Amino acid sequence: MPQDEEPPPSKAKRAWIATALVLIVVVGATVGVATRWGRGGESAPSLSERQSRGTDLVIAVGDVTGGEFDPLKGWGSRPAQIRLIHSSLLTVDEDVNFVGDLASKYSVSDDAMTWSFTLRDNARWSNGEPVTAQDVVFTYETLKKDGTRFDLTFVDRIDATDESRVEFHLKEPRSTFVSQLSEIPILPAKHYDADYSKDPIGSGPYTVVDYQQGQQLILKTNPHWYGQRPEFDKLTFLFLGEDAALAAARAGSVDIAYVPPTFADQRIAGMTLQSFETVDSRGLSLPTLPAGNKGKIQGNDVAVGNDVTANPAIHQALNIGLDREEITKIVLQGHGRPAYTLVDGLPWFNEKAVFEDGRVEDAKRILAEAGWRDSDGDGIVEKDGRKAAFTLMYPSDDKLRSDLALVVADQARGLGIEITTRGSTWDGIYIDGKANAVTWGGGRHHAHQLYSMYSSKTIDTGYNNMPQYSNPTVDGHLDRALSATTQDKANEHWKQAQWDGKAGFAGEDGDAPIIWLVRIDHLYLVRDGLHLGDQPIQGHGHEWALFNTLVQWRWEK
Amino acid sequence: MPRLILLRVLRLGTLLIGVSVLAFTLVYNSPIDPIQAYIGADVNITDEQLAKLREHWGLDRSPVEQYLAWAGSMLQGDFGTSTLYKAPVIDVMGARFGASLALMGVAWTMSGVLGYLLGATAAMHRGRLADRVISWYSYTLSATPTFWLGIVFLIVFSVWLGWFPVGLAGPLGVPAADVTFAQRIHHFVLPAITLSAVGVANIAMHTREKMTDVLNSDYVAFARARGESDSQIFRNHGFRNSVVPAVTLQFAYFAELFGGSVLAETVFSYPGLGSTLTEAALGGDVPLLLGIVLVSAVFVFTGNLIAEVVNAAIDPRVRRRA
Repeated sequence: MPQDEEPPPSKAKRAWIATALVLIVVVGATVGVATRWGRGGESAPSLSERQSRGTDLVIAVGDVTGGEFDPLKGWGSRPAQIRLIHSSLLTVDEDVNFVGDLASKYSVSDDAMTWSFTLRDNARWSNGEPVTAQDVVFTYETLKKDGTRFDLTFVDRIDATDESRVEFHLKEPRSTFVSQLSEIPILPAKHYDADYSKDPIGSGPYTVVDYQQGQQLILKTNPHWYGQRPEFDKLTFLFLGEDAALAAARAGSVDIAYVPPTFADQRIAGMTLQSFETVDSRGLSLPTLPAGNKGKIQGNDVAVGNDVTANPAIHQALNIGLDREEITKIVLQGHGRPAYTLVDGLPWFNEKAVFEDGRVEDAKRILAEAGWRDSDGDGIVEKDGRKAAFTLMYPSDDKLRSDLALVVADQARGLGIEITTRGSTWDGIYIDGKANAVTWGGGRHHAHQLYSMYSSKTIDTGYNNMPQYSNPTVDGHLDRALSATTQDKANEHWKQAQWDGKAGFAGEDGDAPIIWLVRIDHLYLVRDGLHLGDQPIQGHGHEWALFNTLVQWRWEK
Repeated sequence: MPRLILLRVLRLGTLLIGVSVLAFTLVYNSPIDPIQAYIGADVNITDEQLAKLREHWGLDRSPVEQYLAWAGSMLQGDFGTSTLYKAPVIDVMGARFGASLALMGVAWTMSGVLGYLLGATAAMHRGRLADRVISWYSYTLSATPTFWLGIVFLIVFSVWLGWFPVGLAGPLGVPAADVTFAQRIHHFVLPAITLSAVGVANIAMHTREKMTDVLNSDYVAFARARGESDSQIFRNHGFRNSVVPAVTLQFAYFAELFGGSVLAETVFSYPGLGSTLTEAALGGDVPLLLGIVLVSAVFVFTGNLIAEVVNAAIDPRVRRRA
């Protein structure tokens, strides 16, 4: 007769061990058999194969697509993304100067309204046909007409004066056009149609062999590429999550893997951690208007303003009182550096905007001089019966920004300012973010971000100028920067907008509507001996940032 | 019989309408802005660009209009265009359906057969070592989240032992068209085992209970008294009586299978419907999400329908009730 009770607890342990053993044996055996079977025609690269210095690379830095090679679907709206298989009129060098790519030379008219380009004569599509001025005109006219992916509203018309010359006539001067010229991939007019994504023809160093959505992208060299032949004949990009990418690196199957700062202390045999400086920055946006105002974000009506952060002394005290080094250490485990503007280290960065921070006493003095005093002894200052307290919003799925919010709140308390952190979604932040502080981010090879974040003319458009900041002096500098006729002049004005000696949005005595705090270093585990070229300061997005130097990648001698 | 079929078709129809309306309402009211998901969080676009995109995707129309437009083209066989992949939904799903179906099919078969055998064995040896081992295995496994088990397998068999690839449906650097069947299997084993291992537990425990009931019944006591051996009892009485709940459960398990594959596919970066469903939901990709939801509703409905039919075939009592 079968027993009906469960096994008594005393035997539980023995049963557990038995279970574990059976499990291991069964699974192990199944798996072992299946492996030998599966390995019949297998060619998954093993550790030893990968370690030899071959002419192909396997790269796991996240999903490098997004737009599927077609600018009408967004290809190129991420920095340096197009450098894989396309070329553009301009590109950036290791010092973030805009230099010719398809264009062998270019000039801007004295009134900054006409931009003329001469194409290099040896540019070919991956099918061998020549790249012509008509292709350039076709690309820009198509994008301007579409109008969803690239803002080209300032372009009046585009003319091909002959096979190799193009002229852009603008409606208004726009010095930051150079950045777009380096991000827009040129399309083959003859071969572009709705199915372009399936078989993209480009004029870049590589061409697509196979694209497996959500899995991998396989590229081989474009035999008609006009530049120096790359050292690697084949590139395979794996779209793995961060954990899976690390597991793949451990298993020896990848040559380059992105690692977030929290994984940076992982050691993997045969690979070295390479760290790259970036302008991928994080900071705090603080409303500059008092509460009760109205405004727009992305076309929606929202409340604007905050009575505490509207006080300039709060901005200044936080700006000099927060300790950026300390924040970098805690939030990024040291894999980053302090940020003072959105553009630290770029050609349009004003070094006068850097100052000594972490000055708690000076910050308290600034608050006291502005009338903020701790009258009830709770460690938080008050003015006119109002506590120096506000809410800081962060996207709750972003660990870095939530850590940042917590550390900032902790440090601010030491200055006498009470910050309540509140996790939300981006859509939530876009509704409440103009009445509260937000952990803001940005950073591209694109000076236009300075204009869109600080010019009063961009208030209530897109999610530009979150703090609703307005300073006529800064506006003047920004306008002059945008309408400058040369890059040098533009950079000079961008610098003055940051700090011109009397006013500015950055620097120790600046308005600081957005207090920039840290720049994140991009970290990659890279196969020993692999040199990734002379990288410029990388832009936002670790997936694409490496590609500016794609053709310089090589094994070290 | 024709009446029964008509009834089932009607039921499926109303189910699909209900599911699509519910899914649409949920997505429409979710805090995810499809335009933002479409362009990416880091890209700032002008208000003109924004308006054009809304118009292009029909998001400037009222929710009822949007739903009716979608349903209208659905009836003509057009699933719409995925906002995330910028490709027809039918193409995106088609590319992934095969992979998911194979994964779920194998996991389903393995968990069904193994689960039944283990459950029956446990019941036949109730209280003895085999039963205890199987029960412990089942309790442990049913308390194990699929993704966690997947990660453990990944670490042990891919990273430590190097027997299996870390992810994907084919080898690195090999164009999809050149992937051999053996390679597909190699990439398929680990996610399939993960998914089966968890399913086994469920079937095994239910079978064990049912089989125990059978073995405790009067007719089995009578058979024993007549001198039937264990194997005869199993063949003559145990199998038919205990397989019905196992089969019902096995087909009803379609829903859980789908849920499990979402997690397993995510862990192994395996490109199936499950991982696509997650992406579609997080990305506010309404057409793709609705497409997958409908397909999975049909899938689960079919599972339950088969369970009914098989039940009727095995058990005459069920047939008479129907």
